[in-house]
Amino acid sequence: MNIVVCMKQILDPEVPARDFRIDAARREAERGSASLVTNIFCENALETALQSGGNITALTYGPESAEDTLRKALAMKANAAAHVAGEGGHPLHVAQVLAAAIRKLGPFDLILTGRESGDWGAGQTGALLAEELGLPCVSFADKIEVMNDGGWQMADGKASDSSAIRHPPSAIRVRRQTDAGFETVEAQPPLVVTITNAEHNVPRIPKVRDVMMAHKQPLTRFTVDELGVAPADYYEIVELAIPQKETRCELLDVDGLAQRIAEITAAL
Amino acid sequence: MTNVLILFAEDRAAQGLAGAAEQLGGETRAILVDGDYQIEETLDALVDACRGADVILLANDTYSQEIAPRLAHRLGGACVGDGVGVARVDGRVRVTRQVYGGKAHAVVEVRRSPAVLWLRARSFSGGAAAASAAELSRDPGARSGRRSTRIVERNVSAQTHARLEDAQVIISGGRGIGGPEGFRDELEPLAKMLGAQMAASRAACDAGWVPPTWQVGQTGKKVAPELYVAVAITGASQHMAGISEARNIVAINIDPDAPIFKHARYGIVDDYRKVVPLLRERLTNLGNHEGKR
Amino acid sequence: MKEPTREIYWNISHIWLMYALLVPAIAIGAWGIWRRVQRWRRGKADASRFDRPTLRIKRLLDHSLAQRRNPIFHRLLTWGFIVLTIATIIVALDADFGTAIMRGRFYLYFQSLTVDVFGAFVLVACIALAARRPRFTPLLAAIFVIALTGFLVEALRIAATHDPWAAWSPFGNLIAKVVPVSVVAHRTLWWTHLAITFAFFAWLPFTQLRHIITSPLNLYTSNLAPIGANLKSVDFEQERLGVATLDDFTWKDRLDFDACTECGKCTDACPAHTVGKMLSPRDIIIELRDRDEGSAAIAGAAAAQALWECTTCAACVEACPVFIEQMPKIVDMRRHLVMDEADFPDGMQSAVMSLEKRGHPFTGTQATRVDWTQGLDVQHVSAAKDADVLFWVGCGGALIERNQKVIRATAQLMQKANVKFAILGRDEKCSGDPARRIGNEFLFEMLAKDNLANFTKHNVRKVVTPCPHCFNTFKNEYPRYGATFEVQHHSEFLEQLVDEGKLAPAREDGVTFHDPCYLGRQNGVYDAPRKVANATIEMERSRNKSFCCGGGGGMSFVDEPSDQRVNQERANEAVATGAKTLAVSCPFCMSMMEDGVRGRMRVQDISEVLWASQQPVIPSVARDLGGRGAMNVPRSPTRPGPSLTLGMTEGEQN
Repeated sequence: MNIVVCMKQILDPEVPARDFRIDAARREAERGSASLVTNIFCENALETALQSGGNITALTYGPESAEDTLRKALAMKANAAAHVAGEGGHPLHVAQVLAAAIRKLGPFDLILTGRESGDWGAGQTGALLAEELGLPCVSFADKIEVMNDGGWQMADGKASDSSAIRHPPSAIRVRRQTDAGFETVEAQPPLVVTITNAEHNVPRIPKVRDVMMAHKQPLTRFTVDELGVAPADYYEIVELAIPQKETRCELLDVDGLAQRIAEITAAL
Repeated sequence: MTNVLILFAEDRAAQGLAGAAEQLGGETRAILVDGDYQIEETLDALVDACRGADVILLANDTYSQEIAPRLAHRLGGACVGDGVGVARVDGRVRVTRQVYGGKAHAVVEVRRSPAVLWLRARSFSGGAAAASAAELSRDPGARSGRRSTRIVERNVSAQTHARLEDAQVIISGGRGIGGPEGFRDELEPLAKMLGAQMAASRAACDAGWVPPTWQVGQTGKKVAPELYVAVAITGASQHMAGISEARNIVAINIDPDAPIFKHARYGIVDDYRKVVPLLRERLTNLGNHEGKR
Repeated sequence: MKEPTREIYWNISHIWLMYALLVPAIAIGAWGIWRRVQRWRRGKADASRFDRPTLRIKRLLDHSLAQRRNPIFHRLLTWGFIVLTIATIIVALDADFGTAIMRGRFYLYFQSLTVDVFGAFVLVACIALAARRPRFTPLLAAIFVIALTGFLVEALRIAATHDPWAAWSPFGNLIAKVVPVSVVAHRTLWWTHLAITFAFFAWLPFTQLRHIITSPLNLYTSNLAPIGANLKSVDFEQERLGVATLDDFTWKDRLDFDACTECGKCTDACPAHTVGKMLSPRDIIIELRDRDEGSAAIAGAAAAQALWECTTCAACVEACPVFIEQMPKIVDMRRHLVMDEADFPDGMQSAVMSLEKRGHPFTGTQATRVDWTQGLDVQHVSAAKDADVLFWVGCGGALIERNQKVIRATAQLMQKANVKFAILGRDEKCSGDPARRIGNEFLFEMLAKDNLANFTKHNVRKVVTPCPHCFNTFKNEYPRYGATFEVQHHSEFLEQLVDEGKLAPAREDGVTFHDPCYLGRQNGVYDAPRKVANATIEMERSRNKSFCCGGGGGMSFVDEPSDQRVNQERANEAVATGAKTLAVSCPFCMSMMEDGVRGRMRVQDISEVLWASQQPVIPSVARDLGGRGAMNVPRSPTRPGPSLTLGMTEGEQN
């Protein structure tokens, strides 16, 4: 089974609000002293892939610094990594770039993305990628099982000895989170799945040995031009601003709070 | 100009979407997607049903979120999600939404038609009675010819009576609750008294104390209740991103320096294990809440 | 009168039998020791353990003869053992080499009186130690029997020979009055005494009594540097990182195992053990000692959970009478689990991930590294070329809101004393201490090199920090990467400023001080913080015997079970002193102690205590002007107060 996991490097979402600045002219956040990190849902996606077993390629579209995201993915034991050099763009552009890269790297049985990114949070890449590739898509998944040799194979986290590496699965079963609970979705590969976080796909911490090795592994490199992706219209950010909002908190005792809560709920 | 509202059996959301449609102007019709939802088939049917629309509005439930970008792509339009404000400027649709985990607001201008938007429905005041909704017609013949997926099982978790996004009162717990017992023994009885929904921070969900469906925050649900009681939640910006539309935030936290107090309207600095039982007692004494569900 | 002496081998024949027994006894004993030595030699190389011989000899004497860390009874036992052994050797010399040492005064004062008294010491010590253990271990019993039979042989001889010098052996003489005159009994007991003694020597290497030999060796080769400099460096070219199997330990580690007397002082001192956790440094050492050679993983043996309960406070190292280095071994084993297995507690994983991503160990903090500077005129090093001191704030100081007040107080004190200092602000990264103690040496090295590059870039010569962890790391661990700058903990620096008269001494009473492990025990700084905070009340456990706050070694990132919290134990001890203020001098201690005392007393950093004494004496005025934060009390240069007040304060103090 071949899996590609699309990963994005973003500005650290944990950058404290007081250190957060925006470049109004370019309408994006200033890097400042903040770190660049891998989007958490992308790491959840890689973890899900690692647990499913298979030959895993980590793919990223981003500036030079995004190589760190790939190195981290390799340290977590992705088998290969590919970097499309380039920057920015709306979700459609990103999906088109990724789709072009996937066509070159593929074929893949499973294409995973995070459900959304921690910077712009558009939450569209996976869905648009599915449309670009003409594939079905399941969103908000947190667990993937594959049908091999006539039986469902549970993800056990020990991917390397799994027979899933050798055989493309005949079917894929996805558990996904919905408003009310869970849904189980069955599909035939190839398939796009967007991954959300759950108790069991918290990204593993890489071994130091693997971190050191990851820096020596080769990367496949593309540019947007090489992939032949032309810019297209989709949407534009026309305004970006930091909201000025600071509430004064009224500290109460339990009696006071009970009173306030009673007032608020009585008005409903 | 035509607006189409797509409703996944969500009557509460309908009013908010109708309100948003009013702000954009034009004629509005609604499509109700009822019955068996299957991702690819429903999408195919919606593509047919939405042709000719300028603006397509959806709510912020799971199905809307997953359908919207794909619908936009199929119709040659563009999608913007998680909108808390809409406007039409010089004929173009603009959507206000939070970005960078709620640290900034962006105004996004749609450059393709149709504009497919999914919105935090509760952030919009209700429109005049929503246009009567026509049910989505499904023509089994009109398939896109793609391979499909099949939802084979629906597993509804214990908390089913209402979606968190629609809840008016939410009791939410964080890492400081310390384990599932705290949720079960302290917070749930309080929620029952207030007729509230239960929620949690990511830390509590990731720890496995409560189901992931409870998660509120940038990486979870975005809620907009009248009352949000944050118990033992420090209030990291990712969490705040999910409750920025809450009207009244109450914080109960042992740490006076917890960032949650910068966002809360009312607060108590103390151990929740002391505060919550007392609070239940006082609320019972106040009497208004007995039997309310 | 004849010259005082006694007949050697009186009443004893067939002396050849003694030699016949002696040879196998020595052979077995020697073989046993040889086996242990071979075991040590299989260990890996260790850095210099033989430099500075004078210091090493001094330590050997201090702790093998004076035995500063042992109870009096163990000292008596040792001294008795040594005196009796010397006496026996003298007998052997006279008997076999024809010397005539056992004569005259020497015979009376040493060979009779001293030996007799020390023999009695041995008996008393055996009983006292057995009462403490609290049982007669086979080893104690053996020593007791040897000494007792020795006395009985002496008594029987005195009784039978009417020894004119009997009075010089007071205890033997006393017993002689109650024993019958029996040459048979004497002969039998003589051989019994000899047989047991020989057996004892043969047996010695196979029991913990081997410490008679291993402890002095261990003391001589022990670490001379402060405990804070005790961790080994890691060679990343090695097949395994850290310690996974017995094979990965050094010869010194292996000698440590064999030096253990199983006395349990380390475990008694261990904070984790005290609050009921699994960790027992003694049991870890014993388990490792008793392991067979081979490459089986040891994480199972030294129960992995226990390794993750260690605060790296080094109370065990400080308590050990024979200078075993328990804590560094725990870190060595952690290193393997972290770097080779990536198997360690969630909270520490989050800390490590955050360190990798953003250079501080906290998750979810909304504070920035420069929040505390608001309203203070503090400059970045790049803007303050003439700064004499780099004020290293530390993550715990800058990012935990409570500690921001501490940092403000320290900065304001330095400003008041006209110290030219600058900060690194957003360019600061964690010193690497938590990464190192958790066991991620790789990450530690990266952080250390990053910070050093920064220091070099800004030509930093002197660093002052309120964090003992940063302090220890800079002082003891950065030199390996080429650091040459001077580093002081803020307690030392503030003490200096007070001594120079640039700051008024603290005048508040009712202050007790909690020693941070990495300042006190691990670096020997005890007096400076006490002086800065005028801390005159001592807790039951203080100075080098201080009890950890529970926050070291990465433990502040782990949720502890509510009934096993080290900080609770320590906080209760602080409250029990009746002091008004608990002074701390570490950002982690601050968090742990505030959490522990829960309002029962005030917790302040020493700098806050000192800053409060810099205010004008009419405090109500200052308080009214104070504005929002307690630390915002304006230090108005126009008010005629400071210097005048300063003088008054000093007057009051004296």
